[in-house]
Amino acid sequence: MTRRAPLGLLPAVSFALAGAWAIARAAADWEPVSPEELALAQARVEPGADAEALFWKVWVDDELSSTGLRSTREHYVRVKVFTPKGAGDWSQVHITFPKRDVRITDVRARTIRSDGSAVPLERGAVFSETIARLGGEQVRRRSFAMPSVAPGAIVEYRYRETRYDQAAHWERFDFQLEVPAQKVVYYLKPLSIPDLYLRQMTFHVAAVTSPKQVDGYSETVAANQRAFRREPHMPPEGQQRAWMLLYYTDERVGEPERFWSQFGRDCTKEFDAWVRADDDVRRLARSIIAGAADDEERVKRLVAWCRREMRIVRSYDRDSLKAAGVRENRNARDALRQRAGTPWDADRAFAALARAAGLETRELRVPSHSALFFNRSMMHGAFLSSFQVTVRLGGRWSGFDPQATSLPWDMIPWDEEAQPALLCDGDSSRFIETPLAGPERSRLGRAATLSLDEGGTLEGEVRLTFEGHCNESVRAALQDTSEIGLPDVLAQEAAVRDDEFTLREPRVVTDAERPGTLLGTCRVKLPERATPTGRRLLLEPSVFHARVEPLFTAAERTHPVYFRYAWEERDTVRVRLPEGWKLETLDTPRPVEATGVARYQAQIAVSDDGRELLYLRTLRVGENGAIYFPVEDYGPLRRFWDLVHERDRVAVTLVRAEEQR
Amino acid sequence: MKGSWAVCTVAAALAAAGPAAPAHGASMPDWLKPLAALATPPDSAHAGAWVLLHERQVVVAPGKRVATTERGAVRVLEARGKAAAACAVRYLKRTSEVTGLRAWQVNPGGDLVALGGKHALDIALAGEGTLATDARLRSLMADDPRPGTLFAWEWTVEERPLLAQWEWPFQGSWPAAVSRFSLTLPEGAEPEARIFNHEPVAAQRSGNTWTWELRDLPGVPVEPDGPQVEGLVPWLAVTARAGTGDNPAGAGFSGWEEVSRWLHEVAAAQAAPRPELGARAQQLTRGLTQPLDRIRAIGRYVQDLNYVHIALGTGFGEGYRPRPAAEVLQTGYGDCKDKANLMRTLLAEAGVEAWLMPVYLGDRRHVREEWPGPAQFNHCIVAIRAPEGVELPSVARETPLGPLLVFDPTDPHCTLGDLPDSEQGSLALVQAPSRGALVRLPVAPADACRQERRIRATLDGRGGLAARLHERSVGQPAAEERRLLRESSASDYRRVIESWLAVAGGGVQVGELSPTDRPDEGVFELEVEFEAPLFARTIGGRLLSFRPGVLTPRGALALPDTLRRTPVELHARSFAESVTVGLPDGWAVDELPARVEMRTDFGTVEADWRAESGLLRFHRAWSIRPALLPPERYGEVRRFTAALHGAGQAAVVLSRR
Repeated sequence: MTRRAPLGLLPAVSFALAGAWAIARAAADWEPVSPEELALAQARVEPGADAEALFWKVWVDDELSSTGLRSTREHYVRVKVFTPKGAGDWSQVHITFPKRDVRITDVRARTIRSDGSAVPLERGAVFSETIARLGGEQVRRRSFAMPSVAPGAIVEYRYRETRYDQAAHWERFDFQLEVPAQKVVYYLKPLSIPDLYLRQMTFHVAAVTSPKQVDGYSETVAANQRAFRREPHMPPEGQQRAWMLLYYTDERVGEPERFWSQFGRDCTKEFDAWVRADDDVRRLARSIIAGAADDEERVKRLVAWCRREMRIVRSYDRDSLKAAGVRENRNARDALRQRAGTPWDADRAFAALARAAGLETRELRVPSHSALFFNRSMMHGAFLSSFQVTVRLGGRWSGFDPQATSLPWDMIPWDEEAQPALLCDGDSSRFIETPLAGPERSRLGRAATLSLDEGGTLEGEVRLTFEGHCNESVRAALQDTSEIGLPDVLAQEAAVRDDEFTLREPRVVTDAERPGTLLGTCRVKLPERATPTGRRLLLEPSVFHARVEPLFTAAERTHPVYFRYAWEERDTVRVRLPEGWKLETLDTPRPVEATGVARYQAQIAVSDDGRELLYLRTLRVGENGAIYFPVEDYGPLRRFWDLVHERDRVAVTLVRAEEQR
Repeated sequence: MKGSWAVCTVAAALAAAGPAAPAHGASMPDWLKPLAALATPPDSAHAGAWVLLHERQVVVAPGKRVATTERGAVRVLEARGKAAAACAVRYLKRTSEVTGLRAWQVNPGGDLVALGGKHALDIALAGEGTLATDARLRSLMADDPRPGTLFAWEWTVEERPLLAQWEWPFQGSWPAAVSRFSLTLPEGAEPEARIFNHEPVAAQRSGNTWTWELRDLPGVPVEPDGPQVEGLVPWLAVTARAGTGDNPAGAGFSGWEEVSRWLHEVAAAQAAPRPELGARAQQLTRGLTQPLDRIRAIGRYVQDLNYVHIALGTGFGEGYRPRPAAEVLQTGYGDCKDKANLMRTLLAEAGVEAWLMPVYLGDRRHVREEWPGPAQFNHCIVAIRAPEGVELPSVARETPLGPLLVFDPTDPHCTLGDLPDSEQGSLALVQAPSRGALVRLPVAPADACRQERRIRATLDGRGGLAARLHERSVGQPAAEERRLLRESSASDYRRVIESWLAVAGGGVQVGELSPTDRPDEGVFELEVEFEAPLFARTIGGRLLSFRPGVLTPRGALALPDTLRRTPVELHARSFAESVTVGLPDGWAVDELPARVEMRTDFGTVEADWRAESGLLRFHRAWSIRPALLPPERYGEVRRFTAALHGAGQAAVVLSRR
């Protein structure tokens, strides 16, 4: 189960930093501009860039005084502009902040023209406005337009950001920005409280922290940072971007072994108290598992019961629970009594039932790889923000997540698969690896029954089946777009993208017998799918893929390729041939295999009476857990997908029956 | 940097945080009760939502204070109609005040939820490039409205408007049962009204209140490649006229010359000559003897200034007043009217006469000649006295001021002599102290919006293609190419080209890539060398097929096979392509697609394939004339676009000798 704890906030914080950029210590003067900076004709870190940060400095000063806690950040940014696009991008600066606890002051800016003359930002040229207000909350923005920004100019600005009742705790600071940067520097002055330490964790960057402090500030520098760019099918941004996490802790730097052991002990204590059963729970558990043949059957029934009987409110907000008519649960007994609660409650109710049923049960704390890949040297409990309930079956610990209702009973969410998860125990907590479901567990089935006319148009019905993680993913998309986006979701998931594609009567069918499966049906019309060449009709029977562009089109790759889970696609296409036409040639495409990683196979056959073409296609990706490919594997991986694309464009030729004779 | 993201992102974040809990079990206002009982008409089955009532009452009090009250009710019929269950009031900070914003949500089970000001989301209407604005939007939204939900609202805005003119679109895209607008004027004043996109409707008068009403309006769907819905639905335009003396609210206008003069007076002082303006004009035009070259140099300079929009003081008329030209020159940024004003000032310094020209950006049919008023415009460009003998597509010939060369200095990619598609053919106002007039902007012929492509390629026996492509674009296609090049980094541009060429099969390798922009000539050229190893397909071991025309122009018109209900808008375009493919040894052409030829009153398309001495030659050309075609002709347009795309999909079949 997934709780978006502090890590979930990271992108927003990062955006505030990377997007609001700017400035310096209000009291300080502008740093001198060197002749080299003035003369710089193109970006040094990334030649060809529209603009480049010459430096990007932030002083972070946390203070606790008689007036309370305060975190002051003084920003100072200097950017060189090289192109008209860069000039446009850097002609305005917007600093967005919540009004309640942040103030922006001491904004100063200037443009240094290529001839070295400086144009200061005029007084009164800084605008403040409330850009959004809801109830008592307001989001404010301070904005200013940089004067005379043109290619060759240097833009620099500084401001002070004061955050009240906050410290730089569990906060992300980016080294990799939206522009390349010659130097990114964070100066840190932590709270001065005995036995409270500011911990720095850097990711994907060789940042250097100076051991010496100046004016109480330590300095962490990263040089020559390329702009961050996104690519399709890349690992989560937190896993690729260069950044630093700051948090306070009262623990001295220790060994991971010891840290996680203590963390597991604390979790167990809380978990055990929460899931303690009473007679009612024990009676309920007995009634659910009555007659079950073995432990596996018992677990399966308990998961099914929780999903069927418990109303899950997908929010931890007190008001949302209240609006849904659900009381806050203090323990599993409460949750089972009202048969309702949060996803967390549902999982723990299952744990209480499992224990009451005599099954050995523990809490499993799991990292989510949707934001960052975890390793155990990342010593903070928030990295293990998700949890499952693990039950010992046949001598092995298996994780279960009953609240993940779009998955089969024995599957866990995609972002919790193949993770080092902490099996919490009073005295022997340890990490175990969560399983990765094989491609066969996440199947996307496409079945089409179509008729072809002489003009080349295919028309008929398509039936889509989403299982396992495919179901999880399409359900999430449907939740995001609601039913309004159903045709788009179906088309996208079915990969029938085509300018000329028409989809009618899209329907989602829920099969009560298969709760982890989503079925969708629609009617499609695909004009010009068979190409008349004169005497022949050229038909591409892989109707879902023949007109789709290859998965990877770029020659170069910056980030590794990463698929969220292993999956399998199975297509069955039946095409009724037009009256008076017969098959002339038929090639079965050769299989494609990336040994131990992915496989592709397609078959084409014709019915005995020659009137119907049958096309079968299977694609399996992520065999043996291969869902992550380093950049150096991009070439072979792209080659695999190019070959799949080529096989998907296979064509058969049809001729008029009399001509073939 | 750019700020528009902030509004949506932050609004979404605030919305997620959640406002105060709404009041359940409230009572509904009397005016809503009969509406709640209305049965849904059977013909609205697929409408998404049905507007039961939408009315606006404008009351002009003595002293020019105006109170505008809106009421509305909508029933959600399908999930896709959920967005209709919301209301929003636009207002100006400092000069208007919103009072009484309330809404009611009646869920299908009958549960009634009341929403008030504390539930409202209030945002700044800061679009791309806006630094600060007075324009705000306050809205209330239904909470997860299911089909059957009734949502109703009312609000009042009090203000002292700048203009005594009002517009009322009787509907949006959903069908509407009742839509009405009423205007109450002080004693002696009378309204002058026109209805567009509908037969005339007489106002019902009761005392000093006039009411216009339409009923049972069918929905107007949003469809691709058509005019905006706002340009298709019936709308009312009203100007209040005083019996005697001063106008009852703000300014009213009896003719376009008056509008022109009014706007001119607002802006005239901002074009005051200053030494630095003269110096800059001199610097920009030094050594240029031809007037057109001087205009082009100044135009390029102004285009390159950064776009920054400061929308403050709108309620006081500042929305019509550019910043002083000298200030724009000094800061190096401005919005459309700032840029246009700077350009005309610099032109004046260079001895070329020019005028500001308000225009509507977004729908070339938006501005109506019958209703003179400045509120019809949302953009500002420049009209330049055309130098003798200049023959450019953007010269408007029939104007009271003689031939005018029209130019949009806010569009950084559109070159002198060309205009953005949505401005071509629209009505624009020459803003002058006298002889100011509404002018129909010219429409560029298809030949002025042209793309030509030449591909020389060789095919090998395994289906691999090695090719060199040359493209030359002029007019709007060139502006689109220029935009792509300028707004992408070098690596992103290459990736876009790689992705486009991927239609030639997997594994495409792009070699030399040379875009050449020649804005002074209005030309953009692209030279690409590429290899497509999986270009042709083998069939049955003895046939090889490929599509010589598979590279469709980027952004070519494609229309879905649906029942069309609104007109289709065609922009002028022409395209010509010649592809020569050297065939592999041992292979000969077995079959060629049949020649394609189609001629209609809105365009022509032709394609042919020829085999000659080891070469395959493919030629394709099409030309589209600008037109607005009624929905009944959608089938024709579809056939036309199908022929155009079909030529790209048609395959040549080779066989082993």
